[in-house]
Amino acid sequence: MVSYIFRRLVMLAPMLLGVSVAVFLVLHLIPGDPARMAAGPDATEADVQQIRVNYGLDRSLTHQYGIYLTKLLQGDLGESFQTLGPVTEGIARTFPATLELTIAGMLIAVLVGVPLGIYSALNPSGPADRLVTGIAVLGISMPGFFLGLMLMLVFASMLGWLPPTGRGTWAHLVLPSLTLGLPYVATFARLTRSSMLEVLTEDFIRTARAKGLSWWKVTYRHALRNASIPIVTVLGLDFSRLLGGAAIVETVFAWPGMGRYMVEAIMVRDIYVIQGTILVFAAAVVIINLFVDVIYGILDPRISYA
Amino acid sequence: MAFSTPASPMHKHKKPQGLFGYLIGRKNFVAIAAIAIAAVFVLAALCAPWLYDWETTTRVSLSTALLSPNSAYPLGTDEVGRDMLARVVWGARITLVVALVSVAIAMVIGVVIGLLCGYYENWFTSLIMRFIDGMIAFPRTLLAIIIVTIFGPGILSLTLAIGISTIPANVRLFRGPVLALKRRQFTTAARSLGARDSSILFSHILPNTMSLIIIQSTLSLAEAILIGSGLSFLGLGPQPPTPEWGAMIAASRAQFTSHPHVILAPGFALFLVILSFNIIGDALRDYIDPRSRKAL
Repeated sequence: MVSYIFRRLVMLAPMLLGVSVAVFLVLHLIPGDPARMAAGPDATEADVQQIRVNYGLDRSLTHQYGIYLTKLLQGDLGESFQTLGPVTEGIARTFPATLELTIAGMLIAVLVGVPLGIYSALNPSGPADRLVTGIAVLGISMPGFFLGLMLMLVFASMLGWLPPTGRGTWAHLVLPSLTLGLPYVATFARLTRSSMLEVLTEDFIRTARAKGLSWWKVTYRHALRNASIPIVTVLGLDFSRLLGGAAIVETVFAWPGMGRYMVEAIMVRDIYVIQGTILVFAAAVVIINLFVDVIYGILDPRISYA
Repeated sequence: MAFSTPASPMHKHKKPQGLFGYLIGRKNFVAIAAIAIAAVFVLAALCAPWLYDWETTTRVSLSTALLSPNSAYPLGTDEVGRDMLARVVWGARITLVVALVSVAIAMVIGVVIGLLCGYYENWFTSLIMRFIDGMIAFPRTLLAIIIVTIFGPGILSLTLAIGISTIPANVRLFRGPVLALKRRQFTTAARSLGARDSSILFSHILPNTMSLIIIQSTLSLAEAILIGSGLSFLGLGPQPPTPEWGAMIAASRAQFTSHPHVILAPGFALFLVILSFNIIGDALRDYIDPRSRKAL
């Protein structure tokens, strides 16, 4: 197990290298001159040329990538054209906020969705069961930004219970994380339900019941543990998706996260910021997938990592 | 809407029955309502130029700004005095065109790559599949945002971004059935009669994935609208004064606490359209392949 995790961590390096090449190429083949963007409308031709030389933009593509990669390995993601500060600083400032929001959203989806799914699997055709199958389609049909604005309208401006925007206290976290997590509640409930229903018909559940184990042990030790593998898979996928959706929720609630940092950079073609944020998002996705694989092994020892 | 069951060896013993007959028989009135709602939006999209001219839809008129819904403006006016109903109707046209074109791109390219990667199993196609798997792990919204970055914000790059970011999922979805279909007897029969690979792929295997294509296209439309409106909301889609629903909501955000109608109209239009396409897609799946019901 330990050696498996180690091997996966080693694999991380070539994957990130691939991502860095892809992101670099994409951003350097785009139309438009980043140096001119950085210089602003009033700049003279000489100013633009000076910026090109300063940032190495006048060199060949492979040379530029070489510089980029060397700096990357030293933990330097370049500088923002706009703030002139290092990109790593911007990421260090915004990434924790995004992570906090994503984890909170995920917790809402799992802590509400999974128990709801277990309950509806244990009481098939009951009211909870019908609710779960009915609302799933609503969850995947609601645009996140509209849900967010509606929640803001009701709970912040009409009722005044929660602050509408910003980050700080736990109260600030409630509306953004609900916006991010609510659409996934039904997804998790539906998945847990179908997975549990399948496991509950297995022979080993009957055996466990026959040998007189308590209801609690049969349901949670035997059934849920075996039903949890598809749930963990989707958990990993959805965690990445929530991370991607964070940009929108962050914009709605003026949450100072990395998604907004990236989108704002895209608007002004601040390429080092775009490059850096995409790289961090990609690394996060790769690491989440690693976590999922490791959790598989803990949940189901039959999966071999030889 | 009432198309017959696609010719497929799996369904040939099923009695042909219209979609509406099937839905009424199953008392699935929600799906019928969804078809009606989708039809209204499609009609609005088609007729937009005859209902409201572009000039009224985009002209700023501050004297009529932020009026609540009334007889002259059934949905009220926005922050610069434009008729919300006109903008919602034009928004339907823009949203649906973007969604249709992007789904067409994603379907054609996705299905072709999926067919080829399923039919030819060698190191090259397995390399492509590994690449596709990597792309699928990456969140779609983020992928679409990156693609918009390449071409710059706008309606065309938005369409391309949604389309391209859907290709990986489609490739994986269509490769599976091809792997099974190419081992079926009718494929072997066609090959033994001397059919070429291209003829087997496009005349024998492709028609058998038709039901999947129809279902997936409907569900993809819903997702394309969802993702597209999100990107537009971020300012990466059509630029003002183009009345795209997501962009309209973003533009009116500052006024929405005092005048909620400015975001309610485009917001509910979005929600209803996406919801209808999702419900229609699910209904089509039940209709074409009733066994899939048991999976959920």
